[in-house]
Amino acid sequence: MKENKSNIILGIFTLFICVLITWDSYQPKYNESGLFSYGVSLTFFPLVIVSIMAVLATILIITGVFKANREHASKQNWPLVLKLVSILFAYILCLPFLGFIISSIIFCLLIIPILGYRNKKIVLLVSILSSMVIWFAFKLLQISMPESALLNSIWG
Amino acid sequence: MEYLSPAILLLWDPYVLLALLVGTVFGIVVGALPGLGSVLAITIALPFTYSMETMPSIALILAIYCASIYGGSISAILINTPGTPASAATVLDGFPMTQQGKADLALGWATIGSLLGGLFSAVVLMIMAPQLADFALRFGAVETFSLIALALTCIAGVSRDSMIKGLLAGCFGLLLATVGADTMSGTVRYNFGVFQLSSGFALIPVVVGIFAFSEVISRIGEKIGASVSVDYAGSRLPKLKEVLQRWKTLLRSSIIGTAIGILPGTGAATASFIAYSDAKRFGRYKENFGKGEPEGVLASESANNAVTGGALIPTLALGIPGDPVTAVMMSALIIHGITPGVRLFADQADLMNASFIALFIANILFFIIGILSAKWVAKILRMPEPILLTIVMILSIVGTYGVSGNIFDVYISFIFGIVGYAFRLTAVPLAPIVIGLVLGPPFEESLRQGLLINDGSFLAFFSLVEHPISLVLILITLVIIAVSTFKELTKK
Repeated sequence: MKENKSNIILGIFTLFICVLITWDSYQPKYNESGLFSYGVSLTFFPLVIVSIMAVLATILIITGVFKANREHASKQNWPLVLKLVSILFAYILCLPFLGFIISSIIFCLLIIPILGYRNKKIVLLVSILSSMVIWFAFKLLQISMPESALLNSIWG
Repeated sequence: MEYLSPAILLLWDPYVLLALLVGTVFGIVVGALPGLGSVLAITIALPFTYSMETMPSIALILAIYCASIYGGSISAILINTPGTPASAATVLDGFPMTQQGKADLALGWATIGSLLGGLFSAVVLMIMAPQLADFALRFGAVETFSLIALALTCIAGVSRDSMIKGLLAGCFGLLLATVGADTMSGTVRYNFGVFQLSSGFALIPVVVGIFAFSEVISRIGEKIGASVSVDYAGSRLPKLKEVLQRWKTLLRSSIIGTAIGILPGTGAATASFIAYSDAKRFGRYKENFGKGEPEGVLASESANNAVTGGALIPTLALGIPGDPVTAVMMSALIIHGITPGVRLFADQADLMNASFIALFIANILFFIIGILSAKWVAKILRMPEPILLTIVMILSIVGTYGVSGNIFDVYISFIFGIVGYAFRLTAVPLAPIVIGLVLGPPFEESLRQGLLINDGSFLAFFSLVEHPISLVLILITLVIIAVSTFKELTKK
C-alpha cells in the first residue's frame, strides 16, 4: 500500500475513534459524581488522550496529502488473507458447539492445504495428533477447554 | 546469605524446576523458528501462567525469554535467517562459518556468548534493581506520573519510521485502558452497552490478538515459505583459550547489551547490532569480520542475551516495561496480582530474590540444553510453515479461552488480530499499544491522585520545591519530544 494512502486511512480511522469517544464522554452517566470529585472528572484523561490523537491524526492526513509517496508495505495476498480470516472466524464460532477436538481437526484439515501444504496423509495425521496432544496437555494442566454444548446434550 | 534462604525455598519446588525446563525447551524451539520470536513465545505461554502458581509462572516466562533470544542464533547460523530480530547480526559471521563447515563451532560460540552475556546482566540486575527501587521509594503519585510520561515518550520516540505513529499507537493503548470500570468511582466507561466490556479489555486477549494473530495473518498475507533444507549440526564449544583471547569484546558487548536493555524503547536487536559494530571497530580479530570470525558471533550473542537482565531493571524496579517483551512479561506478573514497581522490592523481597536466582538458572539451563539439543532443533526447522502457523493459531485460541473460559475473550483476540494486521500494513508499531495498555491505569491513577493531593493544581507537577524529581523528568520528556519532533520535521 502506498504510504500516503495508508496515512490518510489511518488518520480518518483515528478521527472516527476520537469522535466516538468524545460523543460518549458527554453522556449523563459521567456527570453523576457521587460523594467525591477525585481531582478531575472521569472523562478528563480520555479526552486529553483523544485530543492528542486527533492532532496526530490531522498531521498524518496532512502528510498523506502533501508529502512524497512511497511504497512501504509489501503486496498482500488478499484472497488468502480473506480465506484465513473467514475460516478462523468460523472455527471460533464452532468451538462452543462442536467442542475443541472436532472443531480443531476440521480447522486443520481446511487451513493447512489452503496455506500451501498438500500432503493429505500428513495433514490428516497432524490434524488429529495436534488436536489430541493439545487437548490432553491442557487437561493435564487443568486449563479449561471449549466443550461441545451439542455433544454434551446428546450424551448427557 | 540468610536473606537468600527464603528465596531458595521458593525455588526448591518441582513445579518451578519443571517450569524452567519446559520454558527453556519451548523458548529455544520457538526462538529458532524464523519469524516467531520472543514476544510470540511469551504471548503463547501467557495464558497458561494464569492457572499456575506465581513462582513457577515467573520462572517459565524468564526461561522462555532467555532461551528464545538464544534460540534465534540457531537458525541465524544454520539457515542464514535469524530466528528472532535479536540475532540479525549473528548471521553476518555465523552463516559464513556454516558455509566453511564449522556450523557446530559457530553454535558453540553463540551458546557460550549467550550464557556469559546473560549471566553478566543477571548480576547487574541483582545489584542495581534493589538500589533503583530504594531510590524510587521517594516517588509519590506526582513523580510516578512524570516517570510514566517519560517512558511512554521514549518508547514512542524511538519507534521505527515514524514518531507520530509511535505516539498514536501509545495513545491508542492508553485509550484502550480507559474502557471499563473506573477504579476510583466505579462508573463503567466506554463499553457502549457491551456488558462483557464492563471490566475493560483483558490483557491477554489483546496481547495475543495484537502479536500472535496479526503476526500469523501478516506472514500469510506476504508469503508462505517452503520448508528449508538444514544440514544436521551438533554443537561444539570453543576452547577456553580462544574465548579468553576475545574477553574484551565479550565484556564490552555484555555492557552494551545490559545498558541498552535498561533504556526503554530499545531492545535486543539494537544491542546486537551496536555490539557487532563496536567489535568490528575495536575487536582483536576485526579484519576477519564478515568472513566467519567467531568474535562477531560472540559480540552479537552476548549483547542480545545481556539485554534480558538489563530490561528487567526498569520493569521490576519502576514498573516501566521498556519493550514489548517486558510489557508482556509484566502482564504475566499483573495476572498474579503482582504490581511491578516501587513497592515490589519492599513488599515481595523474597519473590524478587527468587526471580533473580531463577534468571541465573534459566541462563545456565539454556546453555546445557542448547548444547545437547542443537541437532534436534535443526530437525524442527524443517517443519513446513503452514503446519507451524496453524498450530500457533490453535494454541493462541485455546490459550486465550483458557484464561477465563469465556469465548468472548477469543472474539476480542480475533478482532485485535485484525486491528494489529491493519496497523502492520500502515506501519504503526505494535509495542507501544501494549505498553500503553499496561501503563494506562497507573498513569491515569497517578495523575488523578496527584491532582487530589495538590488541590487540583497542575503546577505542582512542575514544582522545584515540592516535587523536584517530577520537574526533572518532565523537562527530559519535553526535550525528547522537541528533539523527536525536529527530527521528524526535517526527515525527507
